[in-house]
Amino acid sequence: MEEVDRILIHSLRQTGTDIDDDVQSIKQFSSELIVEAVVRCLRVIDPTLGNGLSPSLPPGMSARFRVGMSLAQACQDLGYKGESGYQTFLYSNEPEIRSLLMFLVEKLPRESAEALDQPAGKSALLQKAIAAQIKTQLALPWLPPSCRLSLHCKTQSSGPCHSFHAMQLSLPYSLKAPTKKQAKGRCNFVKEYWREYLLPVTSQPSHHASVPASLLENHASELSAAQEWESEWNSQGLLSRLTPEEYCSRKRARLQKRIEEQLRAATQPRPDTHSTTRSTSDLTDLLNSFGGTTTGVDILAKGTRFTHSEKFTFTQEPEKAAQQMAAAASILPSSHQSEEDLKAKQEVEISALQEQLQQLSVQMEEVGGDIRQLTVSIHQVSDELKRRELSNSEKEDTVRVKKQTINLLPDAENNLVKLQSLVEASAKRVVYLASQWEKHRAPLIDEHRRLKELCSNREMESSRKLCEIKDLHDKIRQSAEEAKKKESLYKQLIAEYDTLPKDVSRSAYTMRILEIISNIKKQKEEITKILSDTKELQKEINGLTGKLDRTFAVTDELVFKDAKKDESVRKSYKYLAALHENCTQLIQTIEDTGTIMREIRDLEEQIETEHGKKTVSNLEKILEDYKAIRQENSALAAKIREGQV
Amino acid sequence: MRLFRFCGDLDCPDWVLAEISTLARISSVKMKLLCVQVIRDLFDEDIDYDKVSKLTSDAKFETGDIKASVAVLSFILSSAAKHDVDSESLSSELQQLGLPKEHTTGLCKSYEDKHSALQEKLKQSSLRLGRLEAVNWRVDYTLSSSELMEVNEPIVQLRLQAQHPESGSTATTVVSVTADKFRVLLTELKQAQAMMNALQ
Amino acid sequence: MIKLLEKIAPAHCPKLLHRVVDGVCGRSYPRRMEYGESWSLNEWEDLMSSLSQLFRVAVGRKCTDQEVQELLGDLDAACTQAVLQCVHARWEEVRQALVNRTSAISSTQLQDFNWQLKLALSSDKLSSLNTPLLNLSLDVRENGVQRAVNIEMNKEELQTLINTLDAANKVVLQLK
Repeated sequence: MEEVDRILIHSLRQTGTDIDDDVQSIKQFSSELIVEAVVRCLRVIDPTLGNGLSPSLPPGMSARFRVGMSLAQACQDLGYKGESGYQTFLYSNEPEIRSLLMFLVEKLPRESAEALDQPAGKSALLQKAIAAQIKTQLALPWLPPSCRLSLHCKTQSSGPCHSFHAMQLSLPYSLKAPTKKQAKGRCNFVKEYWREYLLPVTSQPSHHASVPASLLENHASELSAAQEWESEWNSQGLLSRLTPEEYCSRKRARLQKRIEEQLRAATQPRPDTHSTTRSTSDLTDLLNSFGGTTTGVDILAKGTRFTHSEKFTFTQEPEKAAQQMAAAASILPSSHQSEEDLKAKQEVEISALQEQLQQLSVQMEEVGGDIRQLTVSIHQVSDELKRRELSNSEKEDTVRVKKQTINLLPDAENNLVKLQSLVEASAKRVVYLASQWEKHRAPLIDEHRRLKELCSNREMESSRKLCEIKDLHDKIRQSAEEAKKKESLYKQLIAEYDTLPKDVSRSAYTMRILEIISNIKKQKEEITKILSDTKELQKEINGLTGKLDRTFAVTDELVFKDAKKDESVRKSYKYLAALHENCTQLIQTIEDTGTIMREIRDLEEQIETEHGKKTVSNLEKILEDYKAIRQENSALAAKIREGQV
Repeated sequence: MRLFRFCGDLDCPDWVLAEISTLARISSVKMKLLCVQVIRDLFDEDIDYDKVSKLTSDAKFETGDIKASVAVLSFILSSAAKHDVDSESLSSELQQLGLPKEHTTGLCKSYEDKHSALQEKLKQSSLRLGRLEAVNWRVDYTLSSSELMEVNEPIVQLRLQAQHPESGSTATTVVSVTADKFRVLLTELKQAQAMMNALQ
Repeated sequence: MIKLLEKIAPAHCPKLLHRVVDGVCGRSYPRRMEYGESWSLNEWEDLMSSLSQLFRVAVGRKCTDQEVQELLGDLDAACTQAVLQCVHARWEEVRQALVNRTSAISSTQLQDFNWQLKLALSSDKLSSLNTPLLNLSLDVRENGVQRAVNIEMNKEELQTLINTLDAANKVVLQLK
């Protein structure tokens, strides 16, 4: 009962009823308190019903009577099944009040539960947070920039307060540390540098304000590099089945080759390009006119002043070109004769040279023609020679065979036999050799097959392992994501739990309920035990009664039969009958005693409940109120008479 | 003073009150057609002033009246769309202001039809401090330079065409970004995009 | 004149050299106040510039130890050793700094960038906008002059930008 009372009192306090702290049970509720509690509950449940009623009892008796009646009516309207009248409120007794209040409290709308079910959608939360922030910011006065404290800077300036400037940081064991073979010797120097001279990261940038920016940038750079490498490795690197270093070096080698090819193609002198504008062709012409070297691929090309971003520089070329240029320069005549003489001389020379040139060109043509003819005839002759040699060798073979046959002819038969045996022997040899070959071939083929199978198995294994590795990577990623999600969920739930109201301890209630349930279970067990005991006893009683009746009937008959003859037997028969009757009476008395005791217990219970109803005090109160009402009535009647008069 | 939702929970401007009575002078059918024209104007399509003057000629509107009625309809429709007012509330508020019932029904019908499209148009014409128009890129591979003999690093050239916030004209910026910086830029932009999607 | 390096004790050489390399890598050079007694102002400037030049050339042209010693001329053995060790220890960092200098040779270079994610709540045209906007500000260095480029993007524009940059990234990955 105490728990029920406590819960009721707590709920009534929540509706606004002012209950003193020392009121622990319904028994201690006075009439005023009852009325206040009921009115407040009604107001919460149904404002239209409750607003017409005042929570405090008016002093006048008739007013009180009216209030009681209206409250009772309101409760009936709400659907209260028990009887209620003005007496339940003015002259209350505990069980009635308890049931009425429990009914009302149950009817209270579960607004507290609804208040917690507010939309927890992310955008609504965000909007609320934004509104709260704007409110707090509006509460602060705006200060001009020079008067601002640092805590205002963030909220009152329009953009970021510090510009983001990142510097390169030097970190030990970063991804860019030398790992190549050639840098092994460097490793020691680097480690010494890390130990002795490396400044801590916070003092590396020149401005203190760039420390966070530099750290963020550095971290983002390394993280993104690692992620990129991982995704590339997982997608292509694993497929290539090489170690990471081999994969990288192969990629780089392929890239170099591609670039070289493209550059080679770009620097080939093409006939359709505008040679006047490109410096490469200028240089080509220059080199051509000074000695006719083959230009081919190796050309020094200067692009812009600073970057050779399109052309590839071959290092031999500068020296070669310089040499060529030097050679060409030295050929130029450096005489200091007078101009006219020079001109005349030159003209004469020119004409002579030109004649010579013509002659030589004619000669060259003739010679060229001869050469061509001769080469053609050479070809013909060599073909002929080859043909003849071929036929020669064939003829030689036939001659040899014929010679041998002629040699063998005199001893024809023997030789035939010998030849035949030879042929057989050689045939046999062929067969033998073939079998030998087969013998050798078979195991080798098996070996070959075996090795091929081994190879394919290994390939299957490796591809299977690759799949497994990929699956593991996926699983790792998934588990990491799940872990992240679960952590965020956990944090969310903890935050929610913190915001939940802690005034009503649910765990105490649940434990109590569980206790009660176990108690009830125990009681149920005990009841069933008692019931079974009772049943057994009843069975025994029935059995015994039956046995008694049967025994008595048998004895009665026996004795009666003998009683007709013998006197003592008649006496014993009379004693038997008396005994039987007395015992029956005894049993009856015992039964009556039991019934009467049960009645006594019931009556005692009734007495207790009646005591709880405080009927005596209520009756006294009613008498007093009745007297008070009579006085009021007479007073009102007197007033009316006065008024009429 | 009563507060009206379609005015943003503020008082209704006096000129609107005055011109509503002007609107009541034309028939409700003509007013509905006038609404259609005004809505076209709100969507930046050409408004046909001849049609408008024909519609208002029966009620003998002067040019001042025509302009006023176009202005008041324009105000009502755009303000209602701005504050996301549903057509029943708009209808009841307009009737409170004195617009006859048939006119109100016609206006609210046109409003309801074009409600979301109008809001979309207003959203697009809201202030933007510049927008990104086009992005072009080129990846170069640096082989060597006067500073370092063997460079062998890629470098990205970006051309960003953005609309300048103040002048509204397009400004082109060409930047070259080292490979590391480019990677960090891309990662950060993707993070920002994830955060942006989480806001919705 | 690198010979000026002999003016301080060989034990202090490495620290000075490492600070000079920090300066070459874009951070701050050593402070003259710490070495004020050893060199005059002119000598200090001279020493700083020749040391920076040395490091850049040594890493830039991939010089062997022999070549570096030739560049140093007639510096004494302890200092030469210190210089060589420093060159080896900071090789990668100096190389990275030279790569950055190479990319700075072009006309405009991206120095830093910063972004802000904002939520436009409301405007004079529409009272509840709720559009997220990204403000990307790029610090661009053009012919020695730094300026800021501000671009504001909504969701679709950001998506376009990211798609374009992804395509460029794929090409860059092949070239790394």
